[in-house]
Amino acid sequence: MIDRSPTRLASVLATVVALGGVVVTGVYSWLALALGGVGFLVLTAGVLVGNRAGVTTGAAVLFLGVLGAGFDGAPALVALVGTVAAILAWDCATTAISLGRQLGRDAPTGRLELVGAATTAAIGTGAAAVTYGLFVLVEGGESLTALVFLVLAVVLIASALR
Amino acid sequence: MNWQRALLLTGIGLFGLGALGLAAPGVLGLDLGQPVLALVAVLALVQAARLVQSRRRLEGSEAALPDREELYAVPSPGDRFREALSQFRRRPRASYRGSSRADLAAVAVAVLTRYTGCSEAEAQRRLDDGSWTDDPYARAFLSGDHDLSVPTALRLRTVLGRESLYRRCLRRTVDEIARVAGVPVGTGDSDGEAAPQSRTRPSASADGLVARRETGHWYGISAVVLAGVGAGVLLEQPAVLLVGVVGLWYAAYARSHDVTGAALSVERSLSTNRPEPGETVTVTVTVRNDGEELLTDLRLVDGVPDALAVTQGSPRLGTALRPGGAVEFSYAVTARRGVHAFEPLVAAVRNAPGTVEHERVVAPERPTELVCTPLLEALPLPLPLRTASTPYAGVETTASSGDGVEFYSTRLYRPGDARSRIDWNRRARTGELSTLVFREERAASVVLLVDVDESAYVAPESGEHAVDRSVEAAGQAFATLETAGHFVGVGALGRAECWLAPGAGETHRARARELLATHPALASVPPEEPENPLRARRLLRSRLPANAQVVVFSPLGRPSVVRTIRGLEAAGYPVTVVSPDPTADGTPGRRLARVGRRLHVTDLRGDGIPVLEWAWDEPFATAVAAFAEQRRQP
Repeated sequence: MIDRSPTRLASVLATVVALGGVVVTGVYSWLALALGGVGFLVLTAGVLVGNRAGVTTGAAVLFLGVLGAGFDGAPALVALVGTVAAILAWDCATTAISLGRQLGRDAPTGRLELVGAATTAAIGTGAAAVTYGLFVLVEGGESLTALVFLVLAVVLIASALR
Repeated sequence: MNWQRALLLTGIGLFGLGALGLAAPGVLGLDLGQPVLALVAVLALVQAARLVQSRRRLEGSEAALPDREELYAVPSPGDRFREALSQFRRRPRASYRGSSRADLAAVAVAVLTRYTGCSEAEAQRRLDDGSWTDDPYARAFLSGDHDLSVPTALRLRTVLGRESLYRRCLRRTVDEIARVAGVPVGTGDSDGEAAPQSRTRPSASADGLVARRETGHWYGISAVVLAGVGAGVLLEQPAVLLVGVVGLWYAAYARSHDVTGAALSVERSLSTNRPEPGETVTVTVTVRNDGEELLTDLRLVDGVPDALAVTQGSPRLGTALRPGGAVEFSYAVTARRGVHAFEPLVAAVRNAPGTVEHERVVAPERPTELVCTPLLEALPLPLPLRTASTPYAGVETTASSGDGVEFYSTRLYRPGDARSRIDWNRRARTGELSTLVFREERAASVVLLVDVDESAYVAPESGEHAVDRSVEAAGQAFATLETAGHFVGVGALGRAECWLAPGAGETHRARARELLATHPALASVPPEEPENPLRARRLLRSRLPANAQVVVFSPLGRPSVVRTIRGLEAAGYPVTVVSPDPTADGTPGRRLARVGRRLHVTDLRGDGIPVLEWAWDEPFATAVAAFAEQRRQP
């Protein structure tokens, strides 16, 4: 029989990245540490048994942990790193599950997993860098009206993209 | 979608205005305060919650790539209980509830009359009064009542167990019938039923595309944006707000380019095209990306033939390929008798974010084929045949006198007898003239028929099945008989297109070897189009030489096969049956199939047709030796 469980490399990457994110945000906030810990456990369990819903729930809780860190006043850069970590962990974990279902655990899939994780990480790093740059740039501006416009714009764009 | 585009454009417009407002405060001319901002934030959170809900309902689709390294799944006889039971039925009847009991009663009567020597009426009476068995469940199950009248104590006992009363009665009854028939019954019970394997090929368009699917991989990432922005504004934490904006980049990335993988090409090479049986053949597959696209997510499954098992490595690969790049992977299969055509490679190509998947089949320019023709090796001992003869000289001894070398009898001298045949010793002793007569020796014309009925593609465990075994035995029988000087022909019982008329000589031997190894009717995987059994039977009758004798290789899985064999015998062809035993133990159905086969063997032997029983785990030569021993001392 073919072993249909999630592939190894992406599973390991997912748990390591998730743990990294929890550690980085947990340093600043007990709330983040607690939520992040729960999220990490759920995500790890999900990737061990190959359950997509479990992985997604775990990643969502990880993200809530990052929001908690922001609430407790963690620096913007830490929150950004935590978010990218949560998203990357979720991407790696779901890739591991889908690869396991389609190709099985014994097939050589390392190259695909590495390229996929690297691409997602690169997008995240770029996104975090640009966002942080913008943030630093406009930090002085004190126009509430402009902020309303910007937030509404983001909400509309996000709803369009889903 | 239109409204999506409208939303997107409005969003971008607002973004521009916001940026302008940041750069030059007061330009917008509006003075929106904190309450409006809070309202927008709440709107964002509501939208996030809606998105999470719809994500939970979403079912993304992805290609189900085939299990090519698994062998074609072979069932064991009796894996389907109803089918195993129905073969005992004299005539088909509409199924109704409780028919299992009536059918089992018929089986029990058949078994009792065969193996305990009682008449049918007597057997029926013993079933009704329950004196046929000591087992209380079996007794209750087959006694004449319409309701299942099981003693209350037994009823209570089954309540505690996992089995239902009906199932337990059924199982115990089958076990009792098997015991009467002298069929060994194991203790273990497994519910092991081989899952039927789908052998349908994906239908692809001209360029090999099977399907384009949306995997839904990043669907719902915008919830991160909405939740982050909403929470950030309400909590008045810029860090949280920024977190949401990061998600927006991923949402945009998920919408990025599509790839098709249309320019994939594949080459396949084998370490050898014509291996010996059991030899390990290395298959090397090279996949090339001839197009301009960068393929970051490429999932490949090679088209290993159904009848070959992968023994080393994996015919699957997940990789990334740049334009013009190539990737090579290899795996090993164990060669097996037959012609094995490789199927096209199946590829699932995803774009970088993994949101779109193209499933396509890619065939190499030259189709790959592996041909394995085993040598026909003679048995170390002769195969016992029925006594019959053709008019050609040979070694098969007959019960008539004629030209030969072995002394048969003497008779009175008749004028014209050759002088060398006169028994001169006797003449010297007694003065009488007498003539020596020799035993006539003739070649038998033998036709080997392999049963390829659907019921013959069975095995106790996955791997070789009864048709494989039959063909192997037929090959050995062919070599043995041919070496002994007989005229030997080969055919398939139940498939007209496979036929080699009896003959002898080098060319004939080569032809038989080729036919046994490569004819599609004898292949390891059953042919897909069915044959008309009437036509096959008629053609076989017209082709069989009048003086031929027949050896049928069959697991005797169906009454129809047994009827065909009896028909051949009745038509004057002496038949010998070689029967590999593919039955297994473990479920009532399998035991029933075993009882059924035993009944078939008994019935054939009752008609005077010798049956060579060949146990699954012993070599053919051993079975032949035992058979020869049996026939010598009847």
